[in-house]
Amino acid sequence: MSELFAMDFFRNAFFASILLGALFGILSFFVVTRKMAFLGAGIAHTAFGGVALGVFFGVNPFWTALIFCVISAIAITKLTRLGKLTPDAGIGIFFAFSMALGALLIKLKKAYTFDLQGYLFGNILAVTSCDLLITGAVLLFFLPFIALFIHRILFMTFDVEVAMSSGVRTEYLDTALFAFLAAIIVISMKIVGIILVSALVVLPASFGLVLTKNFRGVIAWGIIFTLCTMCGGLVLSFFMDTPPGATMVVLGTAAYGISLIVNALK
Amino acid sequence: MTIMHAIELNNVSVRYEFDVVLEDINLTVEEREIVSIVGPNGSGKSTLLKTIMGLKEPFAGTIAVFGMEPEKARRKGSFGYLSQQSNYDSVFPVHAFDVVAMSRYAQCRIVEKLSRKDRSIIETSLARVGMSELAHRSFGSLSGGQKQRVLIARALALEPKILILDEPATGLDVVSQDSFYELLRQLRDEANLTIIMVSHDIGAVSEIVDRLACINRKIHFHGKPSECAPDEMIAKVFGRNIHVVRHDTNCPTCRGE
Repeated sequence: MSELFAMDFFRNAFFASILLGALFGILSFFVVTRKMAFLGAGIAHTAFGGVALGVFFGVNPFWTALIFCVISAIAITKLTRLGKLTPDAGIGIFFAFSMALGALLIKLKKAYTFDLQGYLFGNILAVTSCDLLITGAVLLFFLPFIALFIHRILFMTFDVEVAMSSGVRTEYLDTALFAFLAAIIVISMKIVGIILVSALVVLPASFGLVLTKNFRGVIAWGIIFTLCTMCGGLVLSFFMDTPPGATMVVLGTAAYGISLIVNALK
Repeated sequence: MTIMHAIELNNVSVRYEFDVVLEDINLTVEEREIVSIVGPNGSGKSTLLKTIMGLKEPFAGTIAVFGMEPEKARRKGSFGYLSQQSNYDSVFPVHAFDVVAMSRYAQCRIVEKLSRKDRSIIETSLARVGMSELAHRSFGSLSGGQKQRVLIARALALEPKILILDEPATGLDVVSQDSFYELLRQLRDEANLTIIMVSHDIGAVSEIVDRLACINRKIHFHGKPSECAPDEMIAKVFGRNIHVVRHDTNCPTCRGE
């Protein structure tokens, strides 16, 4: 095992797993309790349009994807809040549009060959120190945000009208939460790909909800679950010579399935 | 000097898209008054409550809550609101205590921390609805009536000036309903609360309320229950096909006098 950690790329991948474990362990709780799992997957796909915009205009695709996703997430929530659109219809439209826009732009930019495999499954073994820094910076903002507002976000998630009538500034909290959601999804997409991102937004809290019925426990179990799945999947993929992202998804889903069976047998 | 009403609506009209759901509503509620809003399904009762709290903007008219705009009153925690049962997630992973605590956290400025006073308010609110012993049970595991009581405790924990209750008796059995109405009376007398509630049951509420407002898009009757809503009004609000059973002991018409 120690020879694994002697390798730079493996160490970086391991640290990335820990950072993402903490981010998704917490984020997943709000995604699942607000029944926004589809939004998570939708934003991950929307990012494709953002990436293509960057490629097309010759700027760093990471930043265009980030901006594009944050704007999309906020636009979807605003439109649904105004009652012009149902959330799933809104996400469906953005999702399809961005994928199509992406395909169009990439085709127009003929010289570019797009790495679809990398986009779907990411490449955690190619994580750079810069990726780690950005992920760490997001975590550094996300943790205090949650620590300061968790009960108000909880209130808003539970019962938005009563939260508003009780004085919670739901519009600001909502926007901030969606901006974080989009940012976390985009930074992790590059590292683990959309398939794993879609899994990470739903699996941790779903697992936590099987084990406990209190939000503190659900979040704690969600973090433990994500850390174990990601770090475990990483090590396993090395020995089995399988793609890390896919190994993590299979491992996480298996762990969730086992938790359901054990719970049913209790 | 003009008298400050707890709630004052002047010529308020509200619409959803192109449907006018409330038209030209004039309503005043005084401090320490219990007012019940009655009317058939879809008559705009819940919309009226939301409009009072500024959750729904009227397209005409003005609203004042203790002389303030509804939004300002909301920020100050003036409204203890119990929404209709269908509006919340009933298997949300929280304890009953956490649900009641939400009200205290809602009024935190930046840092969310419960003081000793906050805790005692939460405990008193739970005790008032008889839920102290189940405070640390998971909210999802409670029965419908128990959930309703926890939500009433949450509205009380805000220490509001006005309680706004949308069909509060839903899910409560007859005994709990009676003690609930008794609790409302106590809250008005001891905590100086103003209470507005939507109810389907004209008979039951007419015993405890100071005034009734019957609405069906417009206000058709607004007065003391003892003045007893005339049959034409009932027909206007609910339609002709209704048989209203009233057990209002204060009402001479009901007593057959």
